[in-house]
Amino acid sequence: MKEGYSPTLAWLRKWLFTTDHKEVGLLYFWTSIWFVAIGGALAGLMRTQLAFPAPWDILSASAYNQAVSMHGLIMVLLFLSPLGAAFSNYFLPLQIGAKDVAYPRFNAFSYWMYLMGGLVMISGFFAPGGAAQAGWTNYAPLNSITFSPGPGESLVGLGLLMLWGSLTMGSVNLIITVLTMRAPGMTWKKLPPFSWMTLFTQVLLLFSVPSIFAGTLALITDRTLGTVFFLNPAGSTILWENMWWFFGHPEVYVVVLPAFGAIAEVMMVFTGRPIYAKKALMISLGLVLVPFSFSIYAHHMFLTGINPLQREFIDLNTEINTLPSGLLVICMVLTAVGGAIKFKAPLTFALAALAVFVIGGISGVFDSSVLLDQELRGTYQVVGHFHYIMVGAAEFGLIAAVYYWLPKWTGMMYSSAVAKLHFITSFVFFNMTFFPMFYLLEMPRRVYTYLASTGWGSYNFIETLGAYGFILSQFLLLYVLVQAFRHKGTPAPPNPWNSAGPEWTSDPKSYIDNYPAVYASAPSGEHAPHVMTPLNSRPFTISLGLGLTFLGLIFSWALLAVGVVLAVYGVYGWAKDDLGGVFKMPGEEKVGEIWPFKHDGGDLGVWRMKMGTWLFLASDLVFFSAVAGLLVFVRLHLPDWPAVGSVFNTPLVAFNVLVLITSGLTLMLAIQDSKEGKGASMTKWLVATLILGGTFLIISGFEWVDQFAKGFTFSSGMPGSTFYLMTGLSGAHVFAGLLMLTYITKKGMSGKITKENNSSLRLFSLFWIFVIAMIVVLFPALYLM
Amino acid sequence: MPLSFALSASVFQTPPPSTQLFNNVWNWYLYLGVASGAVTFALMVYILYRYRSRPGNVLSAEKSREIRETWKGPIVIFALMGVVLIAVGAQTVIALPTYDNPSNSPGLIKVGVIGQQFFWSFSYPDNKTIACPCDVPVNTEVIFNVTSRDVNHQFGIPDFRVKTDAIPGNYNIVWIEPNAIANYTIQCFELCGVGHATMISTLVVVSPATFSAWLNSTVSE
Repeated sequence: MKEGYSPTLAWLRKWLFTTDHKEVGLLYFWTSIWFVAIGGALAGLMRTQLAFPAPWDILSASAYNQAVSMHGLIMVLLFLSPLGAAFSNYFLPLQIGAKDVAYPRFNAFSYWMYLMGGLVMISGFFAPGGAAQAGWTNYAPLNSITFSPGPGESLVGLGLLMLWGSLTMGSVNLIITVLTMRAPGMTWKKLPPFSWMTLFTQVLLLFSVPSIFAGTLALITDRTLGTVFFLNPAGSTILWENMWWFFGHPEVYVVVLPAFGAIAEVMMVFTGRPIYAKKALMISLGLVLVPFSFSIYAHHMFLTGINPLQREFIDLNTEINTLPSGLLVICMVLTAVGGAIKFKAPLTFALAALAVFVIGGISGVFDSSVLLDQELRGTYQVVGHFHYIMVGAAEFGLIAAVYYWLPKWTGMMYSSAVAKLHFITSFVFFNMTFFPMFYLLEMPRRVYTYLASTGWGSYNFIETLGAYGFILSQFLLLYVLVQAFRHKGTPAPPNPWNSAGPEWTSDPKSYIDNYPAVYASAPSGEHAPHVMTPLNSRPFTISLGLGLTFLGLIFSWALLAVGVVLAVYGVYGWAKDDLGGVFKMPGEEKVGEIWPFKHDGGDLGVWRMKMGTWLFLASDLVFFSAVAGLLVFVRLHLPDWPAVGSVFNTPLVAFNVLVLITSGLTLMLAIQDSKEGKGASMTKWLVATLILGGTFLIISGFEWVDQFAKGFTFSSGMPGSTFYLMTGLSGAHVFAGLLMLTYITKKGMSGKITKENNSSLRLFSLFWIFVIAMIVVLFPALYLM
Repeated sequence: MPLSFALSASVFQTPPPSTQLFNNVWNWYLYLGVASGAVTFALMVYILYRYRSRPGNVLSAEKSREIRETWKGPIVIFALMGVVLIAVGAQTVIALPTYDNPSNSPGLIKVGVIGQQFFWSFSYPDNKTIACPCDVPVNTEVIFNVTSRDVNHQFGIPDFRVKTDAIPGNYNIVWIEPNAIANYTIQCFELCGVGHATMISTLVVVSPATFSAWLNSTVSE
């Protein structure tokens, strides 16, 4: 034991710096519990305000709008999806027999970005003017600085940016984990349903997040630099709604699918029967539900005046997407046929989730009708519908997961009497809160008060009582959790439910290996005295730095300076760790079935990085598509666009693009040299690439200055806004590429890029060529059309 | 109280055309939806009761390992759900053209609707802008051309089952044909800021004579 060893410090060090998937999973879990406490308190406030008609006045209109906006954002993005992620982090590697996730450091990074982003979002409550109050959907132009002048909305935008980063990294990580890290014998056929659902969830995130990432960036530039995307009628609300709901609708499935994964596991264990028609079910989810969820998002926009034919198409698609969801419920129910059903706590919640999902789903079919939507939209019927899905199906399903996996987490059993009481009170009070909403077909959402003459008072009063009861019942769950995590009560056997799930067979004592029998050798790593996890401080440092930077933008320059220093130090440290080989990736000795992909025979870790890079680029492609979509949208809605050659210095831009293309060639030459083992020549070409990339940025910067001088600025109109956003994002990509290239050049100079080990260079070239391709495609669209 | 009551418990003796259209489609969704839900719940309850763990029902090892892959079952389930969805979806598709498009009957009146934080104003063909409330003649087709001056609002007259977004720079249309002399609530259904809850106006349906007298007497602003 080291001199000056302190248990508290060791504890802190472990939880701040851990990269172990189980510990990161628990961090996700407790953080989401913490956020739900805030979201739940806001709900309690809202219900109190709505208990009686005017002149009942507990919250002001502004306070109510803050509560309703932050409640939605917190519950969907900071509670439900991360709660699903908690289980995915913890149990996906255990279920597939892996040592950890594919990129443990990025996993920790995802978590810290989520936490810091969430804190930035809710810090609005302490800002002048309060938190965001434009609804969780942040509709334009209410989200603009003109109509929401306070910093609350900006903080939400900045926090969301961090969250989008977190979700993108997390989805690449978990998808690669399940694609490439299944133990020998863990075939697609045997993959447990929870792992399937995690895969679907992460695929949805990977392709839906980039759209709102671009949208949020445009919102931030609107609010800070004065661009006009969401104020100008050529962009405004329809542009925002497209970008928001392309993410927002798949997000519903992101919330629900992990819950259904847990429900499927629980149904199997407590009925003793395998899933009914698992193959058909997974195929219908993967081939219908996931892709269709992207094609139906515009059903949130039926009343915006979109094309009637498009509306009917979306209506139809929405109803088609009811099929796999309905099949999912029926298959879960039919799973019990022929079994011997034991009504333990996990099963009661799983069944409750299925039952309320039926109500939530059927009420949603009403909203899918273009015609019925014209009465129902914006009313409490919709609020009832999605709470039946979100609170009912998703949260009940995830509570089932808690009761099911808690013994695995903590090694402790819980009082089944308390759990059953929790079930009964939750179920009764849930329905008491949300069923009356189906009668409030004419009451608008998000109103802080209503007139007594409407007759809505009695329903609202019942709902409020139900909400109080529901909130109070959750303390029973909290009691169970605290008891178990503090190791009070009876110890649980290793597999208390006699589950056949592979996660129950992992060794609870082996923190690093999960399956020491499968993997003989333990990886080397940095070990604290009795903490067996590989620790790394960089994810925490970078996230904290970014969080402070964003808070600093709003609150104080000092905070901003500290944040920037921390973030830069963190990134520098990350690169330094890599150069020094400090942090080892979990390298499995064996892999199982990896169909449909091929392992190229080289190092498994490198192969995994390559797969991850491709996935990230796929996501980045959606990002550029969203930006291109923005350009197309703006051009379609804006009659006057500067004529070719009038504002832009086209010859200079053409030359600049050529410079960038040349940098691609020099990079190829560097790779060729590295393959031939010519280290010195390779380094020269790398430096040439750096110089060419830098030249591109300098010329772009010169062009910006030139345009500004001509009066073509961020705020001079839609063409200016679009021009600066597109060139800015391209420039940011090039800048990020140059940072990575600097690192690689450094590595090359110290002789660490060799014939055998040039993977970092080759992975980087994928990114660099991708960025060049994007710019070659986008710039003509911007400058010449 | 059945859900259908919540909708039809309105002030009308005979519902106006848009309400009739809506209620007809609504009933299809309601009855088929409740029936589907009831069937699913019955199935659930039956299975849970029939296969509950009890002395006579103990699980065998074969049962817990049985391979239950089937395509027939899911296809039947898809088909059953498909029939219900096609039945209700068809109602929407059939009724939608009438619901969407005004019949342009002679004597119709066009009213411009402007949403603003936090009130509605209504403009009439003679270009007089008149603030709330909105007067219209009975038994006449009224076409609302809806837009906004600032943020997103949503213009809804719940009793007539019509609603559309009020978006700056856009114009969306809804139509009604009031058939009784009465007052109806107009309300904003999209969060538009602190005054959202009180962005309420009134649709005042009057006799044609009263309407033209009122229109002539109102001074242009």
